[in-house]
Amino acid sequence: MPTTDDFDITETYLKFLEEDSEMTMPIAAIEALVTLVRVKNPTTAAEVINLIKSGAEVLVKSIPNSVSLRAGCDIFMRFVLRNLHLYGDWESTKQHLIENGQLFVSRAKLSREKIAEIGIDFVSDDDIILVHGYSRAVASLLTHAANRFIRFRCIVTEARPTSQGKQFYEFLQEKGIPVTLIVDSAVGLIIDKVNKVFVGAEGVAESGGIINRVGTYSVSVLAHNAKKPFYVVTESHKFVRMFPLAADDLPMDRKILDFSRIDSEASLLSGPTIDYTAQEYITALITDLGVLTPSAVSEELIKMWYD
Amino acid sequence: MSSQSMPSLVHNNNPHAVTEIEVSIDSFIAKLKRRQISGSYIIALETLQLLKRFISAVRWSNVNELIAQIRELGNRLEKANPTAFGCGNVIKRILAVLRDEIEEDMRESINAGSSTSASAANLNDRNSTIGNATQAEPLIASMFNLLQKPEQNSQDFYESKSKTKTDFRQVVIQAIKDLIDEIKNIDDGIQQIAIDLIHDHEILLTPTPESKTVLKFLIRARERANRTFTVLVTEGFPNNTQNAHDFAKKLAQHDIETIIIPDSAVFALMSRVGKVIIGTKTVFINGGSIVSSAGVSSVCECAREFKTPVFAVAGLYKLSPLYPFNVEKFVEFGGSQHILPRMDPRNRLDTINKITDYVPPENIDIYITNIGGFAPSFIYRIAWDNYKQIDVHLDGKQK
Amino acid sequence: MSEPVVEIKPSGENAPQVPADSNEKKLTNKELKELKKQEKAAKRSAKKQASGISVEQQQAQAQAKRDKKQHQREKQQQELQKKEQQQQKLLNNKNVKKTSLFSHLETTEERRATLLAIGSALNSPRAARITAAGLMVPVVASALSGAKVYTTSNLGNNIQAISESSNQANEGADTTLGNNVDLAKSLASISLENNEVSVVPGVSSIIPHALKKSLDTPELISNIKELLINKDFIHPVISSLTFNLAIYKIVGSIPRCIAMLEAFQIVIQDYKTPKGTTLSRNLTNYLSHQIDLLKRARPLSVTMGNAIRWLKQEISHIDPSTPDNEAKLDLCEKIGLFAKEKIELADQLIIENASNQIEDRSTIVTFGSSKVLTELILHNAKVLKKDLEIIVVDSRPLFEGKKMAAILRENGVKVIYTLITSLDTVFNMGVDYVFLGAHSILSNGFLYSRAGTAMIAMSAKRRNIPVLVCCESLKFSQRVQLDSVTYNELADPNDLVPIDYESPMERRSNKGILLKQFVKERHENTVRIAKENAPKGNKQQQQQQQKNKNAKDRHNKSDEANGKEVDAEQSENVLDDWQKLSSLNIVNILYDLTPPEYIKKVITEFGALPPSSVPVILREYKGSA
Repeated sequence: MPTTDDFDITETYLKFLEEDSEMTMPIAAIEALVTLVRVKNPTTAAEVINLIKSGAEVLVKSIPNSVSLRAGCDIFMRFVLRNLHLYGDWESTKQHLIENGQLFVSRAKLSREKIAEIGIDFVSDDDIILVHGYSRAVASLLTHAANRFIRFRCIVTEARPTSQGKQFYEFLQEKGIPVTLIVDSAVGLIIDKVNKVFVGAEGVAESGGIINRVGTYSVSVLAHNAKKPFYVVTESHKFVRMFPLAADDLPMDRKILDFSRIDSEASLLSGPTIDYTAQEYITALITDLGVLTPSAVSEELIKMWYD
Repeated sequence: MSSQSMPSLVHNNNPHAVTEIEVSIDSFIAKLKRRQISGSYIIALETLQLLKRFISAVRWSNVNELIAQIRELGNRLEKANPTAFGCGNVIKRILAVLRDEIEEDMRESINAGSSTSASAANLNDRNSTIGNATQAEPLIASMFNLLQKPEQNSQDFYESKSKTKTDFRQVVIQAIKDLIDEIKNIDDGIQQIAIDLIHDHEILLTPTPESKTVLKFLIRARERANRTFTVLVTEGFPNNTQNAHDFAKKLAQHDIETIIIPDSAVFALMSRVGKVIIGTKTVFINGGSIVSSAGVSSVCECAREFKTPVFAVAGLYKLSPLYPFNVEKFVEFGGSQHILPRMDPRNRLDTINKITDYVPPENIDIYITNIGGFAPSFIYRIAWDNYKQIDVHLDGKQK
Repeated sequence: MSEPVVEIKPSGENAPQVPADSNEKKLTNKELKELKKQEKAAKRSAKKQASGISVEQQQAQAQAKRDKKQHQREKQQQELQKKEQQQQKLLNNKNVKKTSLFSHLETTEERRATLLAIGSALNSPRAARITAAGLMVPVVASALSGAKVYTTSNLGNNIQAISESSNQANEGADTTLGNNVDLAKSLASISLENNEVSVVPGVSSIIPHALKKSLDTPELISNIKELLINKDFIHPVISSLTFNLAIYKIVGSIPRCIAMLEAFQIVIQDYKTPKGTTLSRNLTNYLSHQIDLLKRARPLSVTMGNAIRWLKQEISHIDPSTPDNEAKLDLCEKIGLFAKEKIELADQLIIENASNQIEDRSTIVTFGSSKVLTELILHNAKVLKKDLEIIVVDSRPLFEGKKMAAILRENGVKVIYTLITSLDTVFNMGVDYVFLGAHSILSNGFLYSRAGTAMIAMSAKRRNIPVLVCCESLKFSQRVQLDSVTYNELADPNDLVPIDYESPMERRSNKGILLKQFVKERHENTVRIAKENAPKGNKQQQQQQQKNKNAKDRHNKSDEANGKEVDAEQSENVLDDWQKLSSLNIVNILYDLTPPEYIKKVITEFGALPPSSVPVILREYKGSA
């Protein structure tokens, strides 16, 4: 049984994320696992499976917000298993994985471009688009639309407690897209003026619901109530085999409710950073596989896991 | 679409046949443009007939060229009348059959060459280029694209080895014949499923009196299954009233209790309606559909409000691989003369006269097609079974 | 259905030519065939004459032929009649066509039957009497449509069904014709438009039906009887108002109410208290007779009901010692005040209140036509100079919105006119408000208004567009109702038969067509009478008849050539013979019920309220009144 004592997968993972700001968590996880395989260089199929399994476990445990990277681990695991089963040819698979590590990264970026291409039809002139949280997929879609001279305006929420909204606001301003920043609690106030809502996703659950920045759920319910289309822009490698019924089922970095804490002001307001949005609030998912209805997500996952 | 672009593509081995087909294409396009031909059923059949003649007439040196030419034809037809989806749909289906055939042929030729795992892996790559990603290989989930081996540029790589040109032509002609058969026999398949969906003494409402499928199905339910039921028919004023009256009369003549109601009375009566039946013109990939009678979307909205089930009947050929991004682009509008025949010339009023209508997927409960009943959320799957992603837009270049 | 039908049939008509099952065919086909036949006959005779056969010989030949044909015809006529009888039975079973859904509501036919009976009774009192067989109303306008016998044997049966012979009726027609006033004439004209026979609210056809029906619906016939007994009390103003209401000349609950109040003012002025009673006691009773007749035109609107209730209360408050003249003057004044306060001033308050709602540069959707809404929009556009875009949604068959759109357009307001089928598009155009008029608001907060209102309110609600209802408190009703089917008003299903763009009202008031039709009928009538006399051996007449026929042919042809589209349209509708298909029904309901959850706000003269506050206002209103 090889252990990870001389190789810290978590560190590798974090390093990947740090080095490339464009890299998403699932891709970083895949890259980390590839590195693990390369370093350990297992010789038998059983060894490989155990190695990846334990590596993924360590990774999931050590990273607080693990939904997204879990998707990466899942897909990697599945791919390795499938190839081993199908062809019984471990060597060529290993060779492929090790040699093409960088390719995966570029493909992931390519898939965002593909999303932008597919999703461009969803942005039309004179639209007012509400965006919650910072999503690279949404950013790439909006940039693409702006480059195509579609004239639209954006409303960005602050997205507390991570305050990614500010970051996204600056990004859009830089791109020359008319944008305004609002506090999260003002969504209900402006939802009637909005034409559509775009959000990214940390992970897409099997039901087609999404796990994303906290606040997404509230925005989606408000949009649903106001009969505004709510689109999720995400890469297909974020589909994850989970079926949460509510936010309770998610792996949380913090307790959802903590009545005991009475310490500093800052920690008073820092609850969990993700929530779960059920599929009935989602109009469509714009992915690199095309525009999917939430039910199509489950099909993709089924195809991957059962054959 | 200019009609001049075509001859350049067509090789001149048989100029006579080519010009002949060119003439019939032009006349068909002219008919489409002038909206002289209507009804998705007729459009689909006529497109297939035209395609059949086209296939026999055109000259091509390899299969990719044939595909390019069929696409070109499809593009011209689609441009002629962007709301006559029937043309595009059937052409895209024939293309899908052709692409499947190429794929199979390729697999055979590769298997004949070597049978190592490497070639199998190669095959996977090619699948992702030739076929559409979600469709291609049952074993390879599209999510794995991310981890696939580097793609080879297989577009030029392929050359038919085991099959000759005549084989492919045969395949296409056969596919066209099969599709014509399918379209002609669509009602039987639909009726068998649909009849089981209505019960005795039910009150049905249909806002699409122009649908032959609905008419045939209701009559059959009355005569074969011997159900007694009441049908409410909305008038669809102003463009569809004639049809509605004809429809109601035909039903009544078959001893079906029929009631004609004005469009405004739908809400008042919806509480008494057991099911709403609509015929469709086109079904989009999101499960929404275009119907050729204005006011249907309001009727379906009412039904949704009253939780009355709405079932739509649609032949498989009405499925379109398009996504209705901009509904207003697909909905047709007519002139004002049907709304205000006599207008004060000094104070002309602006009018809106919708001819077709878009029903969003959330207002439809189920689609009954000739191959079974499907929820709107599953329509995308049925569509990808029959179309290739690469052929969704015929105007773009082949990727 | 008795045999003599044959006799009324013109000899030129070849009945066997028409197969028994031709009921499904259009009448015009029959007519055309006939005309062709006649033409041929005329040609033949001309030929014969040319070939030297004398007129006498020819006539003898013709006579022989005719006799032979007559035989044949009688035979086939019997078969035909059998089938007809069966059909008639079918129809009788159903009485008047009613859908099971609305069988509890009074149909227009029933209403018209009553109205007609009374109308004719009012206008030709000497002819009306109650016989042992039941109600006997000589058919006033049988002369108008009696000629239709020519084309439809069915109608002939109906005439036969009256205990008097058709000949007598026809002869009497000329005299009764002179007595015709508006009511009968117009109602007759309504029937004239309907080329169909059996249950059409036609003059000659409906009465026997009403009679037959008496077995089934005793209350209806007793209604008629009662009204007939009291017919002497009915004021002419009321009968003309009744007629105007019945043909939708006056529509909308407020105009109807105003018209009624004005009529009452005249009635009260003309009223004379009989000896031995007082005004305060007898006037109410007298008015009740008027109201009974009014009710026959259309069910009373809520506004009318409220106004009547108020008026009766006022009358009962009159001090019996007041001199009649003074009391009458006082009442008329009060009626005027009532109308001013409850309608005119209320509208002003509503407009003031609603104007605060309307922002500059907004898009407003309205449905149909509403007096207060028209004024509101004009006020905002012209006085307050707001830049508004109005989308008028309209619906079959009354097309009330046309009028409103035209008025607004004339005043320079941006107007888009559309039909309810395009609703989806309308609400995608960035609509800010939906303003609706009301027929009535029920005490459970439901809005009772013209059919289609509920659909618009629902669509708007689903798109988060606020729905505002402008409504005088006069329209508040004590009634509660849960759905549109339980209480409603059935309009004439025949209004939906022609597929054109005219409202029934316009169609009816289109004098040219009616006149033409009338002339045609008269012409046919004379021809028919001539024909009837013909078999008695009057050769000259026969010749004349032939001439007439030819003339008519020519006349018809030139008519067709002129391309009178409306005429053609009217006779070529798919559903012209819908009554013959026992399983075909047309439902033309006038109102529907909008649940309160679709309505954001009700604007009344008491201010803006949520629909749930209607009963509160009702209590207040009752207290103040």
